Amino acid sequence: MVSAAFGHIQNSKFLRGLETPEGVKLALEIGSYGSRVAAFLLDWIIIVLIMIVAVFVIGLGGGSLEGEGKGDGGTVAGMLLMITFYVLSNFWFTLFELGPKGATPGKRILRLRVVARDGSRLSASSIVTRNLMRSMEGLLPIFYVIAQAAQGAANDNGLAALLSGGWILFFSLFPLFNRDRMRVGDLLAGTWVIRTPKYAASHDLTDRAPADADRFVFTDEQMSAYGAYELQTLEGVLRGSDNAAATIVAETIRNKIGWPYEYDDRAFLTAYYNAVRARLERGMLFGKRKKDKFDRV
Amino acid sequence: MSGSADLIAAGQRNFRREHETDWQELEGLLTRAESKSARALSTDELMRLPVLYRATLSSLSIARETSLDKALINYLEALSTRAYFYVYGVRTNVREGIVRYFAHDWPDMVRSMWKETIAAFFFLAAGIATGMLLVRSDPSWYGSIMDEGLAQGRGPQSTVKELRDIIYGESGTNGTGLTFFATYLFINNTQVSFLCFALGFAFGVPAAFLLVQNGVMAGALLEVYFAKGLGWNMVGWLTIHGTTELFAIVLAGAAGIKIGLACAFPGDFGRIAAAAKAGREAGVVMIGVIIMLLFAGLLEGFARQLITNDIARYAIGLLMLVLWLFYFYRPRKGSVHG
Repeated sequence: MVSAAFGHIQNSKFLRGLETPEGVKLALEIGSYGSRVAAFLLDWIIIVLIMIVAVFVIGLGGGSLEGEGKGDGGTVAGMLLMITFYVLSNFWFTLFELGPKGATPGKRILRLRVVARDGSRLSASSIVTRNLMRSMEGLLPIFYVIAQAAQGAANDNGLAALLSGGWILFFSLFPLFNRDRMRVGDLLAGTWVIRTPKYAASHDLTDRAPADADRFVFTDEQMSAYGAYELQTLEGVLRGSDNAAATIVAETIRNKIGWPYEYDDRAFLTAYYNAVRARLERGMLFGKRKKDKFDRV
Repeated sequence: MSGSADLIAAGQRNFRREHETDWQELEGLLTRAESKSARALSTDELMRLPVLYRATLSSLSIARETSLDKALINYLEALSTRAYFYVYGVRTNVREGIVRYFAHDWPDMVRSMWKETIAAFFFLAAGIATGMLLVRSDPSWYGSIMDEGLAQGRGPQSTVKELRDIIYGESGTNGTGLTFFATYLFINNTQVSFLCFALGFAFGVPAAFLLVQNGVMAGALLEVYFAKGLGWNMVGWLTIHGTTELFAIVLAGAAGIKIGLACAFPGDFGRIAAAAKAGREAGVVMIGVIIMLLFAGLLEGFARQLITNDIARYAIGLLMLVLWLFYFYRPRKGSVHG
């Protein structure tokens, strides 16, 4: 029944209730594993792009220093690059998640955000904890492999690569083995990543009654053929622009309620929607909820 | 359409008309507050936000009970959730939070972890002693212990002059060469402390191992200097920033061990709840550790290059140590010992 109350969430497996201090239950949807991975990759793509820009900018700057006869522009440039990479790789996630959106650019694009599991204030220490754990979950073995390759250690490279691969695999698949899709970092920080769906303000469909609405008069029996579930499916069709779908739905409804052929499908559907919705909402005022067409209320 | 149907539709329209401006105002305020900061809002607007949030929440409750307009319910639900996390989730007074952090949260949390801190210190010290003893007994150990980048060409085969040059930054390598090296060291040591913390969750074993391993490396390097009679000078070179930096690494290790212990012995909580609690507490310490490391980096990058007098180096290093100890462990009003 939860998913019926929180209409926008399709998959109730990832649904978590959050009771606000005002006593209203809000539904949170856990961000999917795929979107988390995509957000992570996006963030790293942005970091790498910034690094490439930094190499050019700092490289040119270093060259000009050398031109001024200081002789060690290259070293300064190297140092600046090292610090840039250090700051980006260690604090990119932390600094963005400290912001009011609780999300890195990658997470924002994929409509995700970090929140405290208990719904309380997301503390800075939680964000630091969840992101420092990244260095252990993935970056450690990656840096290790790079260091090994750089040193040209050929003798045990195979084993090291295998271990590193296993390590990364274990920690990157970790979210799939708990129902809240938590990384080890989330687990220790008391956080999880939720979806932040965006819905634009909409008009009420009943405002747009067709001009010749009076010619559609439905009997009580015809109006009680469907319940809330079907009504909201019909709402989706009416708000959409797929006319073929509208035709099919109109056909189905006409057959079910025994309505003669109608040339204007949308007008028929709108009129029927308005009638059924008014009937069902009147029922709600009296405490009767007809869930779907099988519900005998 | 029947009369009652019209009446209900009219009621829905009224409901929407009466509250729609509130919803839109809330949405506008949130968009501005989230994309900039709370400062983007005036005091009046900041006061208005919770009011609008509660109004929207109540609209949502009404809509759920009386309306079947899915688009409307979805909209109100998403808006309410977004507002909830702004109203209850965002740090509103950043300056006050920072003051409280340095006045209470950080030192209190560090003090409460004194057992883990002593353990971490012991692991590091044992590592240093081991490194020194190993290289003293057989200098060939040095090669297998030391990381090439950290050694910077120093080893048992180095001459006294080469070793001195690195400590005092004279001739040979120029100033920026050393700054580059200092940056490298700084980043390396930061990474080590982050790992000490992050590896703690596996019952603290890898964190302890990392502390010992880095102690062994430092010990091996120290022994190279002691063998050439430069021990005093080398310790001075390390002390000026090392008291801060090693303290930070020990605290990071302690934070890691704390998480490890919570995972191993969750106590009254479930294992996950205990780990989450310890993780958040350790995170409080780690924010400060990052600041300590930055501080140590500044001492290393600048003070050490500018001050080549051994006594001054010792004085600064020991002063820093005393300051840190005083800051963390001085008796405080209202604090409970034990």
